[in-house]
Amino acid sequence: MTPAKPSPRVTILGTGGTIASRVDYRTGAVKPAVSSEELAEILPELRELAFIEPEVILNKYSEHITPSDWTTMAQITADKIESGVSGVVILHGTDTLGYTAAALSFALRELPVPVVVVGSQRSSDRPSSDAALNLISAVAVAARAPFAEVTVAMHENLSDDFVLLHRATRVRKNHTSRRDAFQTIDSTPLGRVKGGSELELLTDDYLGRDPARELRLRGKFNEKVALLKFYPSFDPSLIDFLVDKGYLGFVLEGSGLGHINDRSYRSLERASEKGVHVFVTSQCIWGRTNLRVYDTGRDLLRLGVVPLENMLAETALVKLMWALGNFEKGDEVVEAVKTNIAGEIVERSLGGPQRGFRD
Amino acid sequence: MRSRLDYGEIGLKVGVEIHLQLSTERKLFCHCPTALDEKATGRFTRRLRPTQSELGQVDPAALFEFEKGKIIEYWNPEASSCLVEMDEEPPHSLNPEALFSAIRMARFLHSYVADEIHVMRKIVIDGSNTGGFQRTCIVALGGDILLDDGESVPIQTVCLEEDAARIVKQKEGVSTYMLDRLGIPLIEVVTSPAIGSPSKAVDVALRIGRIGRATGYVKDELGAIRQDANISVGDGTVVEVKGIQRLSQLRKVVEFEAQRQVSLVNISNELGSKGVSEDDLQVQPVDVSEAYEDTKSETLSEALSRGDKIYAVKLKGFSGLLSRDTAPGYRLASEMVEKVRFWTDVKGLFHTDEMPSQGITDREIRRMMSKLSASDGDAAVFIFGEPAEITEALRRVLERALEALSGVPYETRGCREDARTYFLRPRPGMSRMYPETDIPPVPVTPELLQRVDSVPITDPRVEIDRLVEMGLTRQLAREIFDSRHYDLFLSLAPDLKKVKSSFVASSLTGILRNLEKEGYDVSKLSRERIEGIFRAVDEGRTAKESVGSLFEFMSESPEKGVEESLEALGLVMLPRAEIERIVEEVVGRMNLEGEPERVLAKAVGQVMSVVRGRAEPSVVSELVRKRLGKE
Repeated sequence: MTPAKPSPRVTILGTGGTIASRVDYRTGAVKPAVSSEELAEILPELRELAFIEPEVILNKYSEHITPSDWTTMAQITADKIESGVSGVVILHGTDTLGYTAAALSFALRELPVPVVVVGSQRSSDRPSSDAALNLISAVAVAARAPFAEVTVAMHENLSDDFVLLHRATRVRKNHTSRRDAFQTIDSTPLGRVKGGSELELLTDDYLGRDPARELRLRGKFNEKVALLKFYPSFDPSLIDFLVDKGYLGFVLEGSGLGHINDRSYRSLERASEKGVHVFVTSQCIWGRTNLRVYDTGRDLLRLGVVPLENMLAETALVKLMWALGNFEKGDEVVEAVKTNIAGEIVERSLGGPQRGFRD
Repeated sequence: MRSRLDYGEIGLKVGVEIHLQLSTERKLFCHCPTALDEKATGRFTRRLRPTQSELGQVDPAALFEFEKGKIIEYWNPEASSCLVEMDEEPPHSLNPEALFSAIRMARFLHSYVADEIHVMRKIVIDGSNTGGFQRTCIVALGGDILLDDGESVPIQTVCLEEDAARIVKQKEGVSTYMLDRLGIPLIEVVTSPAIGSPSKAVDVALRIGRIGRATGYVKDELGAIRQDANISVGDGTVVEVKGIQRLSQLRKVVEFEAQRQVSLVNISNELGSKGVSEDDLQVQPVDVSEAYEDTKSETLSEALSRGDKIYAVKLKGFSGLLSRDTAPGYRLASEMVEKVRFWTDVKGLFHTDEMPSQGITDREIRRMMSKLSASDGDAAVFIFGEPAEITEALRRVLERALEALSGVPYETRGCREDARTYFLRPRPGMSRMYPETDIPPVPVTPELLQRVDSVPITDPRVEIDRLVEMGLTRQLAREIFDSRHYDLFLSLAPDLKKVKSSFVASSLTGILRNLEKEGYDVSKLSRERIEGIFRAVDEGRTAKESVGSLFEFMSESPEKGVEESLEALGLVMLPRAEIERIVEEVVGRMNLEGEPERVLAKAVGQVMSVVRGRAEPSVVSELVRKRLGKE
């Protein structure tokens, strides 16, 4: 079938994972589907949506992906956008897909077209895989969506009907295996695709598609950053260790509103004195930090700890790496992390931990 | 058509695949229980997309189903299914209990147990498996099964596999499945195609079923033992018939299939002797609408007036062959209709063997035949509808006609209630099997084999001998052994003091079977309720004669217990004094003249008609005798 209009061009960048891969039965290894012919053979529907330009840039399970891979992905995505494609789709393993998507949101400033990160929870060698619908929907969004943001395209529920488009800085993998593992936390997804083709917008709060807008690439990440979870037996010498090892900052997943116990105060104070940035998010996943309600919180503020509203801990970690990679001065780094630049902080407190998104 | 076939002469070869559903504590690849339950707590829909096989091939039938846009709806009951059945979680480890019982079965059949169990995926894309494949593993190879008549049949494999989901609804474009049955372990025993008659096939299936039951793991529910059969005759083709639910069906299926294959071979020979070649059937469907432009046939004229076309194909040399019975109630034309329905939305077809009829005249047929340049010995199939669709349908007709040249098509067939078989789908190749990468191979250790061998299966023949020793006839012993109440019988019969084992056995087989035939829902008779009935008899609270009425009443009143039912039916035993009173009353009214034995019989009969179910006949007889003695 020939599309009515000239086909939009969509780049598909393969990075690994089970989506759009094939099993080599002699070795048992999973091989990426490389050529556009191969992809079209597996998913004939793609031909009707766009002219596809596939390229394999990495072949890693996502747990092996590092911040330098984010830099590569951001660079290649920027190049493709510069070449005039209508959108870019990135195939990614689901384990750390949320981290990568957040990283791209910060690295690709002033996006002119959509970038869609897509994965599959059930391997693509099974007839029931969610890969096909997720990928087809992602291509549809890259080709035609009115927004120009980094989104994550994954199943909305257990049925093969809707694929949600999560804003990359607000999405989290909340189940080890279900198709609908990815959820938007304390916000609204940008939209959903029905049946692999019909796009329905769920908000009008987005950066619009504008091919004339000039993309700014800020693709560096500094890895001297850590994510620590607070728990009752938390040993403050872990903080001392990071400081002594030359870490430039860390994000603490505090309990409740963002609390850390008093036996850590001295170590936190020392970190601040040495110029190490300390940020706090909550391990509750849903909800906002607030260090003004209890004494503990007020103590932490005095010690120089910076609370990050309702930013996801994983997003905060990525953002700190990015801020340290792209800003020189300490106060610029803190300011960058605290300021909402890609939807990572939501002002209005809506929703809660109900399963999935309901409209 | 001959009514009886000489199965030796036609070279009948049958192999059976027996599936035994296990009642293990958990399912084969998850921790859900194996009990069925229908209370769906959720629903979801999927589409299954054919994946490429190892060789880069896609199963054509699977691809076709997908392209039709078929949607599969699943109902998932939480009590009997979890994320694994929903294909939302990788499989758990292979159930060791199921493996244990499969190995036990294999050892009994002298089958060679594999050193390692490799779980494979078998592509099944009709929706009956949520993943789009069934997990199966070979446990043992080879072996043999010794039948009651001393003959033995070679075994090919003993496998362990997961049962499929149950289909609950099939509407156009949507198939609905219930997930409770999905994942229940099945032992599959496959024999060589070495069985030479329908009755022997039944014997083999029965014997394997009994051995399975003797493991103690095989479920005693309806549908817990199911069979497929691979059937061929000398010049025929191996045809797989799936989903044979009962043994009585198995015999008829083999008879039907043997007959069909012999007839198809005959048709192929006839076509050969007429010189019909493949080239003769390489024709295009022809628009023959003109031949019917002023037809009196309502169906055709309506079709033409709404813009449909009528297309036809000539089948050279097929005159008379389309409507000839190939098996009881079955014709070559039926097979063409089945294929057309499978591949297209066309519902039916017309053919010249059945013409003139339905308002279609001889003249119209002649006009069509001349348009097709057909002569006397030829047949034609014609269909009305939208040109692209009827062209496709006629292409399928030609395909089936081509197959008729070489005899019996290689295909998978289904089985109807009346044991007629029908085209189910083209036979998939071996490429549909590939490794289940989510489960590492399971080693079969010498220790495991030792453990299995320490609890060998008791030969069902030995168990049946034991039942005969309990006082059952051999026939009754086999019946109760094969029945799904066998466990109940074993736990109950030896426990009863007065009630004989043979009475329990015949009640559990004969009475229940009859009630079921009459349409009573005997599933409402739980184990506990049935036990209660027999205990009431054993303890003298009601008479043996009440059992039938109690089964009947309690299957219709699921909320009532035994005591309540006895009272409701008025079947509570009368005290001796009350029987004496009734005897006095009945005998007092009787004319007691005549031969004493006949008077006695008459009196007992009259009293029994009043107290039936409330007094033992022996007691009545004793009291009547006593009363008459006084006269």
